Amino acid sequence: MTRRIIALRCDVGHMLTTRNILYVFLTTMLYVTLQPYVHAQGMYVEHVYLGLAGGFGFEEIIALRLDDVFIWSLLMLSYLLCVSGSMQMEYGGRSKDTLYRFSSYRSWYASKALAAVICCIAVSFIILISVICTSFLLGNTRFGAAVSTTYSVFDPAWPYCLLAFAFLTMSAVMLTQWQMTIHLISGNIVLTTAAYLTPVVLSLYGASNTYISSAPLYNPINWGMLMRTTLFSQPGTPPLAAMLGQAGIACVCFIIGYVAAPKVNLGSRSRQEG
Amino acid sequence: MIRVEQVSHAFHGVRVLQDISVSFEKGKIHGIVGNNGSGKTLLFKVICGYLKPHQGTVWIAGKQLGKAFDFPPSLGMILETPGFLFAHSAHQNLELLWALRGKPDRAAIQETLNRVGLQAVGNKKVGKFSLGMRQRLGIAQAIMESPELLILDEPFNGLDKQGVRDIRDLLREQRQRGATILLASHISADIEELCDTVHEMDAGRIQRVTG
Repeated sequence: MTRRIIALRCDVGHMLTTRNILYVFLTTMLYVTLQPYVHAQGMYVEHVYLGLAGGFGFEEIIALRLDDVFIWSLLMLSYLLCVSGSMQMEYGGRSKDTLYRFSSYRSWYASKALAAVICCIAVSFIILISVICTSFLLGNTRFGAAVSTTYSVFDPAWPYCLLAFAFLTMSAVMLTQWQMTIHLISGNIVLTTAAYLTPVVLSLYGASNTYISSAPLYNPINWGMLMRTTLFSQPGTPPLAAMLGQAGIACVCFIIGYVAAPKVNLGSRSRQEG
Repeated sequence: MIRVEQVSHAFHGVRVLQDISVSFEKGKIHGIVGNNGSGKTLLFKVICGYLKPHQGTVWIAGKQLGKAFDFPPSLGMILETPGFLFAHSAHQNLELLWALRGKPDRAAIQETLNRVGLQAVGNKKVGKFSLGMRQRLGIAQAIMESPELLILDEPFNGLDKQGVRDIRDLLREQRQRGATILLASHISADIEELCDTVHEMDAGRIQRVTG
C-alpha cells in the first residue's frame, strides 16, 4: 500500500510540474481578465469565479457566442496539458524504465488514472486560486455575493461556487479518463488532443443556452449547462445525479483502459526521449 | 533460471523471431551477439514481458511470464535509450524511478552513482549530460535496486574506453552477488570477455551457443 502511495505521488508530481502549475495559473488569469464584466466596479469574487467556472450566462436572445466556447475550451486545455504531457512522456520512451517497476500493466495504468483524478482536483484548485488572485488584482476584493435561482430570489453565492467547482472538476475527470483511454490505445498525441477537445467544443457549442435553447437537459461535458439546468431552467438534473452520471462515464473510460492496458504492447512503444 | 520455449514473432508477415528455445542459468552472464536487426532487442522485450510473442512461452523461475506476472519480479534493465527526465538531476531521476517500487534509498542511489562514475554530476540536469553519461545513468537505474535479473541491451553504447572497462568490472560484480545478466552487443569483444555463455543470433534465430 505504501509502495502504491509513493508511486502515485510520483505520478502526480509528473503531471503537476511547476511549469504546468504556472501555465494553469497564468492562463486562468488571462481568461478572467478577458471577461468584460470583471472590470465593472463592485464585482464580488464569487461572481468572478461563477463567471468563469459556471459556464454560459443566460441570455434572452439566442446568439452564437464563439468567444465563450473558445475561452472554456482553452480552460479545459489546462487539464489536458497536465495529464497528456506526462502520459506522452511515458509512451515516448519513459515507460520502458517505469513499467517493470509496477507489478503489472494494469497497476501501472491504474496508478496513472488515479493520478489524473488527483491532478484534475488540483488544477481546479489552482484555477480557483488564480481567479481569487486576479479578482484582487483587478480591485474586486469583496466576498459575500448573492445569486437568484428558481428556488429563491437571493441566495449566498458560495454554495453555487462549490457546485461549479465540483461540476467543472467532474467534467475534467471524465474527459481526462476518456483522453487517457484514447492515448493508451492509439499512442498518438494528436488524436488524443482531438479526442479531448472535440466533445468539449461540440458540447459547449451545441448545448449552450445561448445557441440552441432546445438542447438536451443532461449534457455531461457541459458543466455550465448542468449548473444552469440545475438551478435556473427547470426541470433540471439534480446535481448529485448529474455528477454520478459523469463519474459513471469516467469509470467506463477507466475500465476500458484498464482492460486494454496489457493488450496494447505498451513496452514496445518508443518514439522520443523524455 | 529463465527458459524461452519455441518463441516466434512476426511484424507485418515478416518473422522477426523464429522458433527460439533457449535457457539462461542463474548467476551467470549470458551474451547475445548479432548484427543489427538480428532480433536481440526483440528477444529481450519478450523476456521482460514488453512484447507478447505470437507463439511460445517464457518461464522465469518456473513461473510463466504473462500468466503468473506481467514482468519478471526482480528486474533491472536498459533497453534502447533510457527515458530520463531531462529537467531533473541524475539523482532525482533515480529517486523518481526508485519511488515507483517503494521508498527510495538515497544512500544506495548515491553509492550507485559513485559506482558508475557519476558522483561528481549527481546534481546536474540530465539534459546537460553527454551520451556516455546518460548511458552510465541508464546502467545505474538498472542496477540500483540490486535486481536478480539484469537485461542490458547494448550497455556500452557511447562509452569511452575507460567507461567500457568500468562497466565491465561492474557487471562482474553484479554476477558475483548472484544476478543473472543477459547482455546484448553487436561488438563480439565485449561479449567474449565477459560472458559465461554466448548466443549468436541471426535473422531471428539463435544460430550457435558457446560456453
